[in-house]
Amino acid sequence: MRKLRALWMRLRHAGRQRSESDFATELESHLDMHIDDSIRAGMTPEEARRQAVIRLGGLEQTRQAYREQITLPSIQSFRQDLLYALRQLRKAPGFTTVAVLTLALGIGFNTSVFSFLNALFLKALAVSNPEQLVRIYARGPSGHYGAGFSYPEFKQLRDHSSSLEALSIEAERPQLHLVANGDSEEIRGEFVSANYFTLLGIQPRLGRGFLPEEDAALDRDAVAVISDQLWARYFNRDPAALGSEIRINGMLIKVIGIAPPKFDGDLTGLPADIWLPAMMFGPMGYGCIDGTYQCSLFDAMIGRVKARESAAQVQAEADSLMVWSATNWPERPSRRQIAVTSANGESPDDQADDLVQLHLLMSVTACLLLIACVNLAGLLLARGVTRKKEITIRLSIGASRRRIVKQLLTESLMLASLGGAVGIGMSLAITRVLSRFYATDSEGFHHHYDLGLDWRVLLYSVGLAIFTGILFGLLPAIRSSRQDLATELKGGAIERQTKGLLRHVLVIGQLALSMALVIASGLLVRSASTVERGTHFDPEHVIVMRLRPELLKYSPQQIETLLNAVNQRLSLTPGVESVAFMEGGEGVVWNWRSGRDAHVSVSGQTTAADALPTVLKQDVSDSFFRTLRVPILQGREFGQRDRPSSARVAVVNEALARRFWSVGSAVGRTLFVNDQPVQIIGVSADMQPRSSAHSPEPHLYFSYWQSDAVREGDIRFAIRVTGDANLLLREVHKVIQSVDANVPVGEDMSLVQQIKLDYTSVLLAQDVISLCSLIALSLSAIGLYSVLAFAVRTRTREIGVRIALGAGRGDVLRLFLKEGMKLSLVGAVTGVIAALLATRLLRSLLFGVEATDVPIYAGVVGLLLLVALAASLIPAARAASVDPIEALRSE
Amino acid sequence: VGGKSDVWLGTLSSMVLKTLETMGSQHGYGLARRIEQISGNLLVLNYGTLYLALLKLEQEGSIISEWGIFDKNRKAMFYKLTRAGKKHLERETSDWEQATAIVARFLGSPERA
Repeated sequence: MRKLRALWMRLRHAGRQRSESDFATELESHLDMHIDDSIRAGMTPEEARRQAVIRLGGLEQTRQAYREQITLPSIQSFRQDLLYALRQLRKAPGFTTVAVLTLALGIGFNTSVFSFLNALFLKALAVSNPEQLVRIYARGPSGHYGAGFSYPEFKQLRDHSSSLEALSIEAERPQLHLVANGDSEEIRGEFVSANYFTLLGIQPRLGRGFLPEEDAALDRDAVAVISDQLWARYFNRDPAALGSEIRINGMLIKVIGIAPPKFDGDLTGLPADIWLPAMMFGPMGYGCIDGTYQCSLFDAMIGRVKARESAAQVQAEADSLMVWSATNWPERPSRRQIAVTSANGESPDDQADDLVQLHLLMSVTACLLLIACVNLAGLLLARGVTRKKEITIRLSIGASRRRIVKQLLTESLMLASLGGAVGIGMSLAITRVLSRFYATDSEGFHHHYDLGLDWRVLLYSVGLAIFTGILFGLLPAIRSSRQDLATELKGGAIERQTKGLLRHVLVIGQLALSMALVIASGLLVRSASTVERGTHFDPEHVIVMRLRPELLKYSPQQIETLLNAVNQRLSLTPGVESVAFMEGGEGVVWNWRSGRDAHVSVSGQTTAADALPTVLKQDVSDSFFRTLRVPILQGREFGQRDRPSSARVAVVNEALARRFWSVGSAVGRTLFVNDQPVQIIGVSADMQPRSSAHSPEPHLYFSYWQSDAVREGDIRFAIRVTGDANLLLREVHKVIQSVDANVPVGEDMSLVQQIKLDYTSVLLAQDVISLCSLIALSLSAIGLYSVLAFAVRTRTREIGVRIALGAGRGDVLRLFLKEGMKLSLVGAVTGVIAALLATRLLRSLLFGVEATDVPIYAGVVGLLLLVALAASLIPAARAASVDPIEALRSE
Repeated sequence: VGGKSDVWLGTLSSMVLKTLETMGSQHGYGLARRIEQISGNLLVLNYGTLYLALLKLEQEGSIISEWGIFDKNRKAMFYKLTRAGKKHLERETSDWEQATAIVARFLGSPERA
């Protein structure tokens, strides 16, 4: 207790002056008394004073000891170091600016990527006690988390669980077709249990949540809570919205509540605009309306765990649910596994996808930060040499080496903190740009992530700043404090060459790292342009659009009529060249992923050796290949004659044809698809492969009218136009509405746009890596420049001697250019090796270019050497212009 | 210097506390002289060290200081024991007695060991 009090007093006294002057007075009076006594005892006044000071143990020493005791010396010296560092940095504004900006870029990019990681994985939901929430998924045989639950299964768990306080079923659908106040759009909605809002602790800002009886009977209570945003968009925040009716998927729904402004659902990244009772899920077109409500599959369940229970308990209970299902619901696909996860963050499926991307971005930004650190370490080393005199003097008047290292580290940490502060500001801007890549997906659905700063992001960037400060500062600080006092004070004339070795290694490291980054960005630029051009199809001048008549429960007959009418009207629209459509349920129009699994074989026996496990099958309209400009290599594509009444026909892609008929043509052959014989009428080129690392996969096309696609609705259109696709978008929209004003239309965009959205990962990686590599390259050029400039400065006398002895200006120029090129050549070789190892990470993002593309490697090496030459030229020229007389006189 | 002076300072502060207890309020020079006198001039104090000890004791809250007048018109800093200081001294005294008793058993009368 006494010790604590003493510490507290010392802390309080840090920086206070009063007590010190008091002590001076006290000492004066002490000396006076002592001297008086001694004089009384017979000493001379001079001798008395001398004795008194000696007995005190020295006046100044006593004062110093008192000063140190009155406050905490480490705080005092830290304050001194801080002020000193500030003065030093102010004295070198150029160095400080470069250093702070370099660090700010490094920390800014890293913080931005971490902001995403935080938003996607860590941030808690904006609900009460989010840590108590769990989400329960069913995993399918392939491991994905979307196998789903039936309503009876949910009821079974809800009614028999002892570890859950509350449980709600949920299903998210992004394409609810909203018609209200003369406008329409696709909105994302969630179908939930009546207790959803109370479970989350969310109080509607207006109106109310669901009543228990509103989720008790199928297709009875058409009520909804809408988001604050939707309220603003469609009702201008008019309270009269409560009780009014909006049309969703053709059904009239009564608005009973408005959610609070900050609440956009419980699914990270998938902001909901409307919440509806689970009992309306089937009736609104997503399942069935039968007695037990078994045939509608919900996505997941969200539950609140009781205070003293754990997620493991929930897992055990949910596991036993699967046993119950096996006996009570045998028609459901078996082999589902329960996964209980935190309700925070994206769904595990999305996280797995995003992790790949984040992994890459983090590697790149970490690389950038490393380059920044190496660069700064180099600059500081050079600075340490120029500050040698200062440090030597401080060492020789008694500063300890530890004190010097502490002082220099304080300087680095101050730089790092400044860089961190600017970096956080920068990251806000970078994050905003990055978030645009995530705002819309290729189906036109909106996403939203809460990327705002929170304590985790701040902690991360502060930690990063401190870490970098030590990383780039420690080595130079130790280096600088290790001085040979005797020689240095004598003039420090002899500059030893070996001292430059560390700086050289640092520059080579920088050059190599940035070289690897530039190569990666070169590969990605090539890849992105390949993607945007399309492989064996032409995305320019094409509009895509998705029609969902099934949401309005159209009969197949109605859908067929609609399709024919839309097709005909669009074909007659000025500016439209050709129209195609396809079954829309499985993937975009043009991708290797599009289509559904089908079993194919030549013999008709699925177990036979001539069968493929599964291929993807798409149902496409007449003129599909012509519209997308997919080359037909043999035979013909679908036309008017391929209708239900005629023989079943198929088009296969080259990969599939090669697989079965490596010699001779595939056209005219018979193929068994799901054990049904079809005749092959054409072979098409392999469209958009998975990546350069993958060979094209076999693909199969059926005629739309010969398949049963028309029963499902959900149609994707591709419309080739003569002019700018974006300009005709509205026109095409209008034509469709003139045929049917109610049919839900979505995913309306140009095909070029859709490709961009679908290949976000490639384009984002390209943008980020290109920018980072540009910065890295500039930093390395600065690093190389500063090493050479420094060499010139410290070797001025040597240069003077050389020139005086008859060396030409050209010789001196070449001497330093050679040194610069030597460093960059070593850097380039190291960089190529690093790139060969690192670009493997990029494999999945590369289209139309190999990870070892020789022209790109060669080009980048050339670019690097060119940049290095430019960076060496200035210091070399300065060396060549040294005046020998001045140089020799100055030392 | 370090270790020794710490022990020394510890002992010195006990002496200061004891002296203040018997004398009441006193200034630094007076304290020093008094301590030397009690020791029968066997102790020769470094007065700087004494002021350090006083500062430490004040920071711990064992003593308080205030300006006072002596010799009619001369100013000096006077130190006074606080209640916490009194307790501190009592504890130090009993600790000391116990310690010396133990040491005495070992060193004081060897024939008994």
